[in-house]
Amino acid sequence: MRWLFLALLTTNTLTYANQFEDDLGGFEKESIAIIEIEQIKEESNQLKGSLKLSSSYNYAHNAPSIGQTDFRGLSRLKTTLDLSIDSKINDKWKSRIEVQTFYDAIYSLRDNTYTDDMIDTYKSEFEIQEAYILGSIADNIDIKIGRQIVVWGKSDNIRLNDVINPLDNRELGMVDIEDLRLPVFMSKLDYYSGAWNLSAMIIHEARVQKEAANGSDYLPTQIFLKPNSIFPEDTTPDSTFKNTQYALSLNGRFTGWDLSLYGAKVLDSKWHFENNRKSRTYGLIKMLGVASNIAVGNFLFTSELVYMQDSKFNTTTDEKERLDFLLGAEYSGITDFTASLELAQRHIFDYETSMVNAPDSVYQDERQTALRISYSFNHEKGMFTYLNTLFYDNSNINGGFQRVWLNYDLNDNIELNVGLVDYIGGDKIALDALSNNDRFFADISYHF
Amino acid sequence: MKIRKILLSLFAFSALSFAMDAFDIVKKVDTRDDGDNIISDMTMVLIDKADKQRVRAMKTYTKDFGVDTYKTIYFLSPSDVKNTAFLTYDYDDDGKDDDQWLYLPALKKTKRIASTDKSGSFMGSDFSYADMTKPDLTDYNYKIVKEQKVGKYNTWIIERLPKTQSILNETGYKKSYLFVRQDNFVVIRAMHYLDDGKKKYMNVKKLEKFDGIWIATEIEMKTTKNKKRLHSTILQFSDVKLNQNLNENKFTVRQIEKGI
Repeated sequence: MRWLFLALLTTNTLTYANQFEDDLGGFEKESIAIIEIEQIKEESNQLKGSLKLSSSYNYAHNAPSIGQTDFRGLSRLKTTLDLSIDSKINDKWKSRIEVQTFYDAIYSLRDNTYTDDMIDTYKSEFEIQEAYILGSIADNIDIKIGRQIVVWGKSDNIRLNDVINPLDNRELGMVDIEDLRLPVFMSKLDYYSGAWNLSAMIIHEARVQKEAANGSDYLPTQIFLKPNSIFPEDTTPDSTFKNTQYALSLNGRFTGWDLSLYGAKVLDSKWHFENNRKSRTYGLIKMLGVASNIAVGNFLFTSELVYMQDSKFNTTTDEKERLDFLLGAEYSGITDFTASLELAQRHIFDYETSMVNAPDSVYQDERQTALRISYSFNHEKGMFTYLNTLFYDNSNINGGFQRVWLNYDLNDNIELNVGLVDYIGGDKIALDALSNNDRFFADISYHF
Repeated sequence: MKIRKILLSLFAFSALSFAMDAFDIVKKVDTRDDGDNIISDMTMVLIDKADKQRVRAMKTYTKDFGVDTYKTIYFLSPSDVKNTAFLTYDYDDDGKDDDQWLYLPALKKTKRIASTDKSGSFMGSDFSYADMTKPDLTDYNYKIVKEQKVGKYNTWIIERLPKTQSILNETGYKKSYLFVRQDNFVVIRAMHYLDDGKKKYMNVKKLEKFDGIWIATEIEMKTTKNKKRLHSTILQFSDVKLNQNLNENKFTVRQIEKGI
């Protein structure tokens, strides 16, 4: 017995020792010769940009009536060029200018009945995006003047407090997140003290959302217009002193949590008819909000609350007040995997039953959920993402969309993006009308 | 008699008596002056199993605030992640989770990151977040396995085992061997065992002395399975500057949003 025990012990220890020595051999294996590395230093003027070719294919539309636009099949063959120059003027001052232009060849190549509005909206564009100068006028005071983007709120998927910049709403669910917010010209002053930052903004430019083309598959106005009636173009309010917008935020960042308080008088994100329904424009709303983040282990909890006044609608002459709140949680405890769920509730005070009718199509209490799941793989070469967002009224689904996409870096400069958007119909006429807009998309980008 | 000799030699392998015990050595490693107020350029080369290489360039700022360490990393390339910045407050207190923020220039947004899981890949590399921070010494048991020469330097090979399952889960390493140079207490090699049968080999390929302080300026981390290399990463540090005048403002969300 003693001999057996000794034999076993000897065998195990020998195996262990051999295994260890064997494992050590891993250090001696071939080392990869790395390519010549060019040392990249920060420069005072840096030009960067991207060239993107994007396409989409619609697979769920019905055949059109004679003379109507055929939305089936290939719906995008777009080339987008984005250029930006970041300049460091000195240690305290910087500037940035970014321009973007696109041309969608599908509007020339396809023999289709596109309306002038569709061609104006989707065929080509040149725009100055961000253009600002940023500097410090004292140790704890920064100033930023020019076209810029300011993101409010803590939520990643649902916008409640994020009211400063209008959105590109031309193709719901298809606009890249980095292009979603439209920069506006403003003067912004930031004061810093310890964990706190007070930010004051005067917004000089009255800029409104980019909406889908009238009659396009993203704005099928025929669903709520009377036959032969005209849907007027939306007009941007003049950038006059009277329309100057103001915003103030107080942000605190602490160990494990962040807090932000917001107040603003800004342009509403939605339009209303005026002048006896002969024109459409955007009114000014007032808002007060609060948003917070709390990190607990691998969870990030988010909450937001916002109170709004002076919201104008089309189915009532009264201006309404709203109270919206949001709760969210994000989990990052599994390697390479992130999941988040956000729930928002929107309440309209003094709601009138007529408001359920188009074009407002709003309910007294409406809920929105957003579920996002991301998985990165192959040493972050690839990222797979699923996003589902739905609107509810009580237990009824009013509509929404789900999107799944794969982003893959072919190398340091070339990125591939393929995916699918599925529009979900429901009780809300404006969302239900998009339910046949389902499409595949594929983009390839070259970054330089 | 023969068996006794074999056993004696095996025990000699697994339990050599050393002048210092393992904990003394790792304590010396931990308390070794590794510099403060550091600015450096960092180049990260990611190499896949087909030897295809991707390169990331970053600038890093590090400062010790007492026992806590603050760090900012700015991405300089590739172009699509340029100006992305990462800010970390690494607290020594075990009961306090690190604060981390990521500035995403494409979204113009700074996002708080909540993750106590340090086993994840650091920026897509073979280094994990755990590899990039100092471990809490008391979270592990240590044992000197043997002495070995690496190049011309004598090292102790120290076995490190996590004391609890939660520490194992946090780092992903069920066992590590650290090669500590006997002349300067720098860990110049490490071998980590992961749960899924993978092994990671860390190898300091270049060690330089700046103002009397040893800094690893080229480090390779290789991930293997069944003796085959799956992926590897080379980290190179250049333009290393120690004892710079870095004030607290360098380590704020304000700064990462403004950029370098």
